[in-house]
Amino acid sequence: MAVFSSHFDHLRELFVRRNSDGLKQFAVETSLQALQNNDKRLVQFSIVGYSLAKLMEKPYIARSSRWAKFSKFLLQKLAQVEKCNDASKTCDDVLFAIVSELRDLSSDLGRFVFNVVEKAKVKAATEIYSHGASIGVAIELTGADRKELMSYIGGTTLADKFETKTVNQRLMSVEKLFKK
Amino acid sequence: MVKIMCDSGPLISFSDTCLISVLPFLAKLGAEFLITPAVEKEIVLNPINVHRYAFSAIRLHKTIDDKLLRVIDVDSHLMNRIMNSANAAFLLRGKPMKLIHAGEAACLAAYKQNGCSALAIDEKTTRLLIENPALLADNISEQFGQRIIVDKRSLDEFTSLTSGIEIIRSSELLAIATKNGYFDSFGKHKEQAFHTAIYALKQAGCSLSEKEVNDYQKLKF
Repeated sequence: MAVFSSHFDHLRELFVRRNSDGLKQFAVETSLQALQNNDKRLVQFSIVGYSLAKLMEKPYIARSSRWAKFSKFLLQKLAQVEKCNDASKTCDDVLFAIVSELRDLSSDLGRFVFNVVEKAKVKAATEIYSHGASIGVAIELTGADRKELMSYIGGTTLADKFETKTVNQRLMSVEKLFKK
Repeated sequence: MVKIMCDSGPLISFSDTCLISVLPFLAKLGAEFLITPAVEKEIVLNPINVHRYAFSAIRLHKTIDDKLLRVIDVDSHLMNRIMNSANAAFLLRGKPMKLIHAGEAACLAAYKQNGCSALAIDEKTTRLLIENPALLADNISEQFGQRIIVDKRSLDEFTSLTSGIEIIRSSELLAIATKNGYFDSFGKHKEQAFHTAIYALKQAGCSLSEKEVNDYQKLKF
């Protein structure tokens, strides 16, 4: 499926227009495409989209010379991608380079305890988990840290949709086990 | 002896919330905790070299050294059958959805191989596939705005391979421990200790709904 060239085009357009909401939506959509296609590369788009959105929202980053330099780098990399398909190594290399640069930028400039790229992985993994996959699948696709993911999910109301037995039913079952 | 197969989630949650001593406490009540090599890798071998997580990993490492957690081998053939049937059971837009990972499938296979009494797992997909796959399918359909097609043959195979598996969460393990005196040393605060520990487990990733948390808050010991 992966029509990567259209993903790169969309990413470029959103970045040039400084559309951080659009980038976040792009991040959500590509994470779900990754789940539907079982394709880790689509998660890289999600990571880039989310990271760009979060970084450009910070005025102290967006106004920095480092960001200006990064913007040039990003647009150059995106221009390298003339045509991409599933088997293209260029796509993978470009995505890897962009993610790597975003990680460095976040470490150097950011005031975050948690690198924005790692946060992007957790966000993508949460979307994947909330759309039906297990934590193991979400982690496998995104590379998100398990503890960070579990902690993030624990602070949401995701579990409210997934009740099966009541607490009393579960406790009675456990008590029976220990009485045997 | 109550053989309990453990996924990574409850163990990490217990370690992170300073509740790891629930395991030796329940062991004295007859529980035996088993883990797969993949779980050992996830809870100890991977995080032990990451500063942020190393202490938690060391605590779990000690639990293995103290023989409170026993590492057992997995029948890879059974594991693959379980994983493949689960991951062929639901189709979205004509494509099978990968629902569970090899690690989760390994826990299910090891449960059956070792005649366990329960699988301690905090994540929801594996639990739903066993307890209520229709609810999982409905949820996925709602999330994607597209009907999930169930491959009955694959789902029936998964159900057959995992029949009789009893799912428990870290919250239920804590509750049974509390009922048997785990928090007695807290004196008049023992119920508060339990109630707040439930919140801590939820924050650590145990799949507990708001209603379930409220129901736990009503428990008296």
